[in-house]
Amino acid sequence: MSSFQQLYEAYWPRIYRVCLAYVGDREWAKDVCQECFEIAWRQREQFRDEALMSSWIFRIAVNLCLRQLKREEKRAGWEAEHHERQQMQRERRTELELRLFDAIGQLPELDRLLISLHLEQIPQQQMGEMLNLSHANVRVRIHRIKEQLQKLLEEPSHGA
Amino acid sequence: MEHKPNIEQLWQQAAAPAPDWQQFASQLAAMETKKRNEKNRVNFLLGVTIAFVAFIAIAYWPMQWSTLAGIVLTEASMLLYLWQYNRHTKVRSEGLVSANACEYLSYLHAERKKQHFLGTKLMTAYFLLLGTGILLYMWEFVLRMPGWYGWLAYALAMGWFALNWFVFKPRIIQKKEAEMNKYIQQLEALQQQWS
Repeated sequence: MSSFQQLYEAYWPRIYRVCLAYVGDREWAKDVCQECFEIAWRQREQFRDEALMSSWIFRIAVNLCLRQLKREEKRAGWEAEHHERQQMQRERRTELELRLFDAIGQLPELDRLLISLHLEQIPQQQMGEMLNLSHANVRVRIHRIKEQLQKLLEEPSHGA
Repeated sequence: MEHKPNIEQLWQQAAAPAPDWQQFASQLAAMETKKRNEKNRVNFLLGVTIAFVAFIAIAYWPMQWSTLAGIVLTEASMLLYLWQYNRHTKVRSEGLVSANACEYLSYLHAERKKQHFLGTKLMTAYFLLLGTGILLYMWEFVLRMPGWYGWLAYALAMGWFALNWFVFKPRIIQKKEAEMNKYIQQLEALQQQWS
């Protein structure tokens, strides 16, 4: 179990952030992240190439995220802002950090995944393979998303 | 001069709950034990039933061919169920691991086809084998019953089959298919963002 433990401990925060950016709810993100590692554990025998570990685990997370829309109808994750703010105060997260995740939440689903994978420093080539996009398309989209996010973050805050 | 927020830095600072390996490992162990126990329980119960039915056939060699045919069909239905149960208790997560986002959609389509086959053709085969088997098996004993008791026994058995066939079976199939359809529709809607 020890090598899987290393994988779990190294990737948990990274996968969690990607899931949080997609679903917009900390508890929900934790559940998705947990499921991602459960699947990785069950399929670990398929996986041999250590060099591709990051791509492998993020691929599971991406596919799981895409499957999560179902619960969005019930919960409307990104609209639970009030709840998030209360939680943020308890966890001493910064206003700007919350605004970043709010801004990501306003993006279409695919863009949410692209920007969070980019921020987790996944190579664009791998992102393209995971999401079935060309390298050029990934590069252009990321550039555009970053501009959009920057603009949203520079707007005066309406929160709290 | 106004300070520009650094997205990369903010992202890295985002608080994530600390990974708790001990808790995760114990959850995994509990989950695997639960699954194994359930699988063992189903295999044991059906295995004992199959052995018991076979024992009846051997120890009390039936007088009529219908009883023997009933036993064979009932055994076949239980073996069919057991075979399918053991094939499909493996968790279906291969698609999540190996496919990219678009291939995953194709994987779900293939899964839906498989699920439909299981829910219709295979379930029909199981019900027909089991139902016919039990009805044939009953014949020898019903003949020994006085008057309308035999009719009552057949009516009760057929009523139970009808309830399963017309009420429970469609409900289970519909529930499973609706869930899968929803996943597929969601992913298909998302595909528009790819273009």
